[in-house]
Amino acid sequence: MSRWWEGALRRWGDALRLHPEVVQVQDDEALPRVGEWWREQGNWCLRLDQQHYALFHAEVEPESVRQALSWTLQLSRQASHRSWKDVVLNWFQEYLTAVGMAHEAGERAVMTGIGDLSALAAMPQGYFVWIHPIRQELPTVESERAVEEVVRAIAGKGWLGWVPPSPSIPSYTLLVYYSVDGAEESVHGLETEPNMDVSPEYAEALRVKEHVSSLLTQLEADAFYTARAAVGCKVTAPAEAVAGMQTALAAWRVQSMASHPGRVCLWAETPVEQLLLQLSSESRRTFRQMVGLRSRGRDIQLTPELRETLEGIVAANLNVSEAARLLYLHRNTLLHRIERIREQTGYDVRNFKDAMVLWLLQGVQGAERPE
Amino acid sequence: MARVTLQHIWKKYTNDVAAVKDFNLDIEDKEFVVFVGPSGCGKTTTLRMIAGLEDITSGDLYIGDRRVNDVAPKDRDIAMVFQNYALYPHMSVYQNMAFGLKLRKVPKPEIDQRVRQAAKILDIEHLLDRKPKALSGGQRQRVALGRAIVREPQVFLMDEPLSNLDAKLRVQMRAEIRKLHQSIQTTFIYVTHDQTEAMTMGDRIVVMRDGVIQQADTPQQVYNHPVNMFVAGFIGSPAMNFLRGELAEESGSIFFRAPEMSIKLPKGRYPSLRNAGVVGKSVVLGIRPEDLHNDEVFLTTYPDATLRTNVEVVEHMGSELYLHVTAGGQTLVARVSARFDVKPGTSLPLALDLNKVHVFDAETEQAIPHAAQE
Repeated sequence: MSRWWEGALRRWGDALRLHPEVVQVQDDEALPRVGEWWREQGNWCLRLDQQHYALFHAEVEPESVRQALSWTLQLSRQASHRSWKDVVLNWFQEYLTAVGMAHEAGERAVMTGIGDLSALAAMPQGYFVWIHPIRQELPTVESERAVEEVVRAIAGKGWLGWVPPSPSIPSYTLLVYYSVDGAEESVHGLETEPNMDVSPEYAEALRVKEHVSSLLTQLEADAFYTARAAVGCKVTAPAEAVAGMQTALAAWRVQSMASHPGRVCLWAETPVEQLLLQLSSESRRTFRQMVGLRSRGRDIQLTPELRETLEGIVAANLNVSEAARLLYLHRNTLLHRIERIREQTGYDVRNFKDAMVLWLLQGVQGAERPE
Repeated sequence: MARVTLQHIWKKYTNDVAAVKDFNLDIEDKEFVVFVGPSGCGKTTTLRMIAGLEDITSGDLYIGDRRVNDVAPKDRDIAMVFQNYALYPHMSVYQNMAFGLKLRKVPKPEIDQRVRQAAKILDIEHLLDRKPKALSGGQRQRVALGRAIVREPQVFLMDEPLSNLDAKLRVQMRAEIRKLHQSIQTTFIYVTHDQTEAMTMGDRIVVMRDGVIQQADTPQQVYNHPVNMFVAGFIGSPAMNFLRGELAEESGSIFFRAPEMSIKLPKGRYPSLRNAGVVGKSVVLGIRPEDLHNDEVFLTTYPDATLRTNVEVVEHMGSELYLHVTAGGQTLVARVSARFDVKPGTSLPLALDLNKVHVFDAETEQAIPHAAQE
C-alpha cells in the first residue's frame, strides 16, 4: 500500500518534471521536521515523515514552488490523519447512501454494536474483513453477544460492528479490522510457517487468511455461527481505510460469484476476478457475443451441473482423471458432460484456450449478476 | 440419554448437488462411532448437520428423543472438536477452557470446578497458566478436547481432530481419546479419512462414499466381511489385492480362472456363488496381503490355490516384508515374515488362504457373501 505522501509527491513530480529519490532514515536521525526543506550536498531535500525524506536531484526553484509543495503535503497529511472512527463511519455512510440504505436516524442505526473505533489509531496496520453468515437467519441478542465475544477474543479491539442487510450484502454481516500491528491485538499469537516462495507482503496476507479461517472455526465452536469471510487489501493509514473496506467488499463479491466458494476469500488472491468485475457492461457484452459465435451466435448459459464440471476441470488443470476425482464422478460420466459442453458451446474444455474462454465467460456472467 | 438417530437425511446444495444421500443410522448412547471415507464423501457434512452448523435438506435428526432439525446448535447439547484446535492465542489454557462456559453465563465457581476436573482427566493441570503458543501440538489438542469436555455435552463431535499431529503423536492421542471415551461415558461421533484411526478407535465404523453409507459395522466385521470392493479396498493397509477373472464350473467344482491362474474355491462357497448367479461370469477375487502365504504348511494345504509369482519389489517394514509381485500380468502385495529371505527378480510360489478369499461381482462390485453371512 502507498504512503500518504506518495500521491502528492508523484503529482508534483509529473507536473514539474521533478522526480525525487525517496531516502529512508532512522527515526532518531537529526533532520529538519516533517514538511521542512534543507540542502544536502547541493541538492534540495524535503522531510516526508519520520522515516523518509525526498532528495531532489534537479533544482526546486523559486522558493514559492518549495512552499507550495510543503503546503500540498501538509494537506495530504491532514486528510490522512483523520480519526479512524471518522473515516470508517464516513465511508460507511457513503456506502449505505450509495446502496440506498442511508438511515436518517444516524450512524448507530446503520451499524450496530460498534466497537471502540478510536482504538484503531493504536493499531494502524491491518486488514478489513467482512464476515457474513452462511445461514440467513437473524442473530438473536444472545447469539450476537456470543459472536462479538469471540471476535473480540481473537481480533481484540478490531471489532467494528454489525452491518444490516442491504442490496449489496443480503445478510446481517460483521465488519472486523484485523490488526497485524502491536502485541496484544496482533494476529501473530499463533505462529505459522513463513512462506518463502512469495513476497513478505503476500505471505503476510496469506497468514491473515489462515487466522481469519481460524476465527471462523472459533465462531463455530463457541458461538455456533457458521460464516464465510472476505479480506481486503492491507491498510497502513486511516486514509487507506476506504480502500481496505472496498477491497474486502470486492473479495466478498468474488466469493459470492463462485458456485463453490472457499471459506475465506482474500482480495489479493483474486486478480482475474477483480479485473472482470471492473469491465464495462459494453466490454462484457462484446465478450459474450464473441464467445457465443461458435455456438451459432447464442448467448452461452451453462447449467449448474455443467458449470460445476467446468470448474472441476479447471481446478484439476484440465486433467480429466483428476477432475473426475475432484467432482466425485466416474470418468465416463465426466467425459459425457465434457461432450455436452462441447455440443452446447462449441468449446472443448480439455483444450486450454477453450477452457479459459469458458471460464472467463463464467466470471463475466458472475460479474453481471445483481450485487 | 444421548442416542443419535439419523433418518433419511439428505443434504443438497443450491446447485442441486447432493452431498449426503438418504443417510440412515442409529447411534447408541455412549457408543463411539467413526465416519470414515475419502475426502468429499460427505462425512464432515453429516457431522456438521448433527451439530446444526449445516441445514438438513430433508430427513429427521434426533438427539435422544428430541427431533432437533430446527433446534439451534447451541441448544443441541453437543460439543465439537476441530482439526485446527480452535484455541484463543491470547488466552491461557484455563481461560481457553473457561471461555465457552463464560459465554453461557455459567457461574464462576462452577466454571472453575469444571475446568480443573477436565484438566485432571486430560493431565494438563500443570499447563493451565500457559498460552497456546507455549504448548506442543499434542498439548494443544488436549486443550481443545478440554474445551469440549467442560461443556459436559450429551454428544461429542470430532472433525479430524488428529490430522494436524505428527504420526507418532497421532498414535498416542488415539489411545488418549479412547481412554477419554471410557472415562466420561458419552456418545462420540468421530470423523476421519484415516482408516487406521477408524479401525482402532470406533466401536462401529461407518464407511462412506459419494454421500452414501457403504457399510456400518464393527471394525472387525468391516475388515473381514466388506460388502463391496470400495470398502474392501479402503479398509486395510496395504489394501486388499483384487484379481480379475471368471468363475468356471467343472465336474462339480468352481474355479477362479484368469491368465496363468486357476484357483479351486472351497466347496462351502458354492451355494452362495450359484445363488448369486456369478458362475460363468466375470468376477473379482479379493485377498488381503496377509492372507497370501509362502510357508510350506499353506503351500501343501492349498496346492490348488497357489500362484506362481515374480517378485518385483521387496519393502522391509521391520518385523515384516511387503512383497510386490506379479502373477499372470496382475499385481499383488503379500505381507510375509521378515525372517523370510527373498530378492527382487526371483520366482516365488504364494498360496491363498481360501477361507479368507472374497468374491465380488465384477459388474456391481458387490461382495458375494459367504453362506454363513447370508
